[in-house]
Amino acid sequence: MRPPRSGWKGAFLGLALAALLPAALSAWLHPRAPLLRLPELPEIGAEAATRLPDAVWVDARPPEAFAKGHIPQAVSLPAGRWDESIDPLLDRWEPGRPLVVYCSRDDCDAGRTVATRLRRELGEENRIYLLRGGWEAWHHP
Amino acid sequence: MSSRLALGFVSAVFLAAGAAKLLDPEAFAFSIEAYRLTPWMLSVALALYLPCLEILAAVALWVPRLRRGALLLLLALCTLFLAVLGSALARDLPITCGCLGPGALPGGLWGSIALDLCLALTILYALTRQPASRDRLPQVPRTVLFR
Repeated sequence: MRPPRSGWKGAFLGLALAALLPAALSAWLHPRAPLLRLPELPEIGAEAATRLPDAVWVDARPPEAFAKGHIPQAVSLPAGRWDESIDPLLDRWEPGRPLVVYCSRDDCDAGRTVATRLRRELGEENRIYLLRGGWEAWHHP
Repeated sequence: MSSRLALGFVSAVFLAAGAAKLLDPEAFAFSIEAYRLTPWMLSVALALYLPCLEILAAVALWVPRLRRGALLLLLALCTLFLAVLGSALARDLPITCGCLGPGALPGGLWGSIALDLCLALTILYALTRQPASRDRLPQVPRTVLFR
């Protein structure tokens, strides 16, 4: 009797399935496992944001949009260029200072992504805000 | 010998990429999210799954029984990455690849596409150097061979 042999399909599927186990363990045990749901972030209107003492403004829009115009003193931190852009923000920011993140509009995901990541990485649970209405609300109030 | 070199290159790149991303799955989830192709939950699932798959397939390249399947799996991953990078370029997204974990590859998205193409070609070369699946070979009885 011939022993059963598995061809490339068996190896292909076997590897694809086998990777599920360490992935599940990683989700459960990894200290840097991502949150399954993005947390709710506090929103703030433009007027209230300007009254925040020592607030640091974070622009999550693409660099080209930032170059065309931005809130004075804002730091550019596009979601997809985190590693290149986080240092200038950290030079400006100190623990305890509020951060106001904005994107083009409310429906722009980048602002929420950047604010969530800042919240996770800086550990500032209650001092990171999303600017309601984004750049458009600031620029054309 | 050159086939082993090709396997070594592919294995080393995918091991390094998988390990770098496995160290910080949260950062990788945010990298995937920046492509704006998947909802957050799927980005999280992919961020946890893809590094494990890359590492497993890279190790499986050194197991002769699993080699062909692992090469095809890695080729499928390269094709997927190329499609995703191409879509990011087409949409002019201001992002870095995230392919090798945190940090940008030199050359931006074009550099990442070049690396992926290089990997895909190396995998194709390694595939051509692999013996075809033994399942397909005709089973010749020994009595026929040595009659």
